Amino acid sequence: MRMGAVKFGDFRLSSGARSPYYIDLRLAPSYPDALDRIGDLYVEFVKNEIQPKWKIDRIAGVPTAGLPVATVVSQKMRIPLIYVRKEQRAHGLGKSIEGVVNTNDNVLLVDDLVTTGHSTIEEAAILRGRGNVGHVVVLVDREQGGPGNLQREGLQLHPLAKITDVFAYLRELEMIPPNTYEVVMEYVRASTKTSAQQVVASDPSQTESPEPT
Amino acid sequence: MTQAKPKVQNLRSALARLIEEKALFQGEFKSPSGGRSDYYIDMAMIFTEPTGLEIVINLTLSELGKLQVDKIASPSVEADPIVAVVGIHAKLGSLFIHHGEPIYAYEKLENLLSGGRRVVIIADATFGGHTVLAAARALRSAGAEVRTSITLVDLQKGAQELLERNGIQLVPLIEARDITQPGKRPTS
Repeated sequence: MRMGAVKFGDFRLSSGARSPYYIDLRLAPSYPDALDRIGDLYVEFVKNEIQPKWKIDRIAGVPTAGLPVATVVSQKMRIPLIYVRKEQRAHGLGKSIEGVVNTNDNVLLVDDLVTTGHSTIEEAAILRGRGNVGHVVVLVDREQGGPGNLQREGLQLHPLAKITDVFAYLRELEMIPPNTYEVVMEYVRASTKTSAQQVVASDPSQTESPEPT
Repeated sequence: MTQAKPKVQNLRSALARLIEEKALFQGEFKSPSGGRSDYYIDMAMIFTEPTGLEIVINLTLSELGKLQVDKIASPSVEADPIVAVVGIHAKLGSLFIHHGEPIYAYEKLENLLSGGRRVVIIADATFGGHTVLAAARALRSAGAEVRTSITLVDLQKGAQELLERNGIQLVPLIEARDITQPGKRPTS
């Protein structure tokens, strides 16, 4: 919130849908202490909850917003990084996965947010041609059907926080007024219902990003 | 970085050897601006791996230490990983400019520069220098002062000259001349 990563107002997302809030974790690297602490949160979770039962061979980052934090996690844990290129580059080697991944490597997906989970599912599909993908760790679940959609694809989502918890926390600190709090909580409740009804039929584009990435 | 710091020169040659071993690819390659080369260096092969990442971070920090700098910036997605981790170790905020445009949806670059306007651009590799120049222009139009760009490897295809003409000193950790290509290696 202090970073301005969560904003309230009237936002139009890339899917065309409107949202009364916008969360942009691409701002986190502007504040190195914050990025460092966020990285520590991921590492602590992964060490306690995933590593004991699943050996991790590669950390996979998701450009644009998820790549910086995935790199930080890769460095802190000393586990090699890979990432999928969204744009095929016209120059250089023109390949779609950066870094080295071996057949049967266990690949942990690290991203910033999940909304409906569709972009994560696409990412996992590309990586699955190369390694085993079963777990996804994100900082914030926007609670718009992500966990269920990912579950159906055999992906277990591990959010470090839910967006409604973030709002509740901000409300507690009186960093958002009561009426704004009600509006955004109602928006999340309503969109959770809609996404539960529509399931996979909704727009597969990445709704959390209002610009083409 | 918690490990004892080996001498910068040793790190430089370690990086050059790592590039020869893992990141050097032969064949015809085109640069974003249309230049051509008969080899290509893919720095992602270096910094996606913990040892290579450590070397790159330490060398970059050593160059940053010589400069007056408030923020660092990535000119393309290829450089984002290294810029983000260097930012943490250097305790500098990092900014991301892709294709000459800031990546932020609802935040102005001007606001992100409010804590200090001296920006050093860190590139993964430079060829003709056009990607760095596009980022520098975006940063400058938001009020930043851009005088230096660090590049992990400069392929010596005109970047130094182009950037120099635009008031930017290019500081390469490694230059093409430091790298021995397989075909040109002395046979033993």
